[in-house]
Amino acid sequence: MTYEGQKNPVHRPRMSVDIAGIKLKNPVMAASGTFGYGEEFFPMVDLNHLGAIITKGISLKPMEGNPPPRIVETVSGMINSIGLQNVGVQAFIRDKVPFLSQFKTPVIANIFGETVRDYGELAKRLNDLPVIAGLEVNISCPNVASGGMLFGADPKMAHLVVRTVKRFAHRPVIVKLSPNVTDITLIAKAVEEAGANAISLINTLRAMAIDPQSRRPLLSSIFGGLSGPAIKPVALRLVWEAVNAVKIPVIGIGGIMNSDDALEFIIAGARAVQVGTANFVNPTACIEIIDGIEAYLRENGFQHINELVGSLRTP
Amino acid sequence: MSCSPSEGKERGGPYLVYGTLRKNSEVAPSYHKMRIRTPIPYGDIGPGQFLMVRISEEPFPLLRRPFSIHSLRNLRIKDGSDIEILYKVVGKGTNLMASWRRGKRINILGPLGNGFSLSIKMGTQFLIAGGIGVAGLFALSQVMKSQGHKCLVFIGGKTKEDILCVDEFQGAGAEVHVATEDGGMGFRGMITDMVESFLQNRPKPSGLFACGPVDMLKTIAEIAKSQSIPCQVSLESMMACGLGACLGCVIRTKAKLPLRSAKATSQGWGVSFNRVCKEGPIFDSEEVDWRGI
Repeated sequence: MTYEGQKNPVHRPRMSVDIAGIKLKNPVMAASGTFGYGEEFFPMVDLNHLGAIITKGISLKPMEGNPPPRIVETVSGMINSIGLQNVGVQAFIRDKVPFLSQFKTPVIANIFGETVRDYGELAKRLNDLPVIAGLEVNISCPNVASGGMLFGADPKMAHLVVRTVKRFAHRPVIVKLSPNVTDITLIAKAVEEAGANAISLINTLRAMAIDPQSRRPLLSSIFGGLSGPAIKPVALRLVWEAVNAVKIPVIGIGGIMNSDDALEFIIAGARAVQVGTANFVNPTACIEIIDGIEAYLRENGFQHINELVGSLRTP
Repeated sequence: MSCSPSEGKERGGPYLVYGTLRKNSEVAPSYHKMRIRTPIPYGDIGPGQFLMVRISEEPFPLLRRPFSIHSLRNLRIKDGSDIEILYKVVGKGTNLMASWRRGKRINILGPLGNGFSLSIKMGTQFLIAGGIGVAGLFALSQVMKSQGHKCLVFIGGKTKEDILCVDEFQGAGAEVHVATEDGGMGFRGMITDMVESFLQNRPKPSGLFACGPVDMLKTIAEIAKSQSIPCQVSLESMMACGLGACLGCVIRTKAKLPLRSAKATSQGWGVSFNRVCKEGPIFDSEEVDWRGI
């Protein structure tokens, strides 16, 4: 960016990042399932200002999702069990893509399949849409009976899903990982070997809550996925482990509420971050986080965000 | 924050703004009323809509809380309105709210939801509230009065302590009837029984409008169906965003399928999930699939 003609040119650090060929003007993306299809936050949020928008998970056929109650607030977090309610790929292309196409911001389609074949088919269907800059492969949803986390918990299955998507996709492929595994590095390495261009983590932590009075679970599906500030330390540790296990870019997700939270992930080695639950609490959270990161870079003398990535000073 | 009204809607908003607390007082044991001066244009708010109030800047309590817009007043100074919310202190969030003092800046998101439909037949309307449900109906009675409808307001509660806003409704020109389960005030029994007896003895109203506990709403919906009276109900649900993004607040409905999914899904209920925050909170009682609620 140039600032010619300004009286007092201010040093402005560069925020742009390249994630596996997807060029983002800044490293802050709205996480899948927390930002709808963008239109829900428009015009309150300047969508052109975001690094990227990740869509709500898209499946081949429309999905109705789980019966209510679907959410419960817990200490410093919430548990959800939406069950991937979504309009399906056909309606996504017809009803949601035209809106998203008005903006300069890259859109990353989060795709979910009940079978390996579904994932390949979804990649094919989304190939020809100019607005779709990349795919995020969801192998980590804890709230569906088939597919989802079952693929993400087994390195062999994860490998197979990613290889299938890579065979059909013309766009960079990000794989979203589940924290509900014994060793995240095994899954991270498996999807890297299968050709993933980047990984994003973490999806929600499997969790539950009970009403002692009625002795009933507070979610119809008993389990759900925990998100929000409560999970940030766990997410950060997993991101750190993943960063040290793979060479492809890592995108940090989990309980990011403000720019300090985002900076922690970047310092741990994440090239970009996703903001999720914070969007519910504060619809302009992403914008505030972008501004906060930029201010930090400026105040600490960084020319470019990349200088900060993985700059953790270990003992 | 940019908050220009979105295109193609009847009303502008939602707005993400700060309001200033003007008044916050207990109106009955455990019931409080709060008046907030907001920059939200008066004309953009309709009866039956709600606000999401940010309780805390801390991680706990995390989520905003939804509250019906109880009443509103046009400030007539540029854009802006005074909004009242009526709330019952039940948990950590509402306890915190009860401690707020005049002058506090409050982060609010709204107005949200569809609001009551006022494309209704002119005449007598029955407004039926259970407990704190009065909060969702007072603004409606104000608008109905201004449009020339006659309002009969039915307020039910367990004891007389749970009966709120009688004076307010009367002040707005409504005829108020009260029922308490213990007989401490008005008719002894359920408010739904009182409504039924009125329907037997008086001319049929043009419409029913109800806000309150689910069991009450179900009964009102049955009455409306058996008597063929149009009925709008205000529903509540656990909600994270209020904007239609999280899909946490859905209820099963029979019509207005947003997903065209009823046939496509294996469950084949012939119904679909609609968001209380977006397609609601006001639903035609016929449209709600009451089995799942």
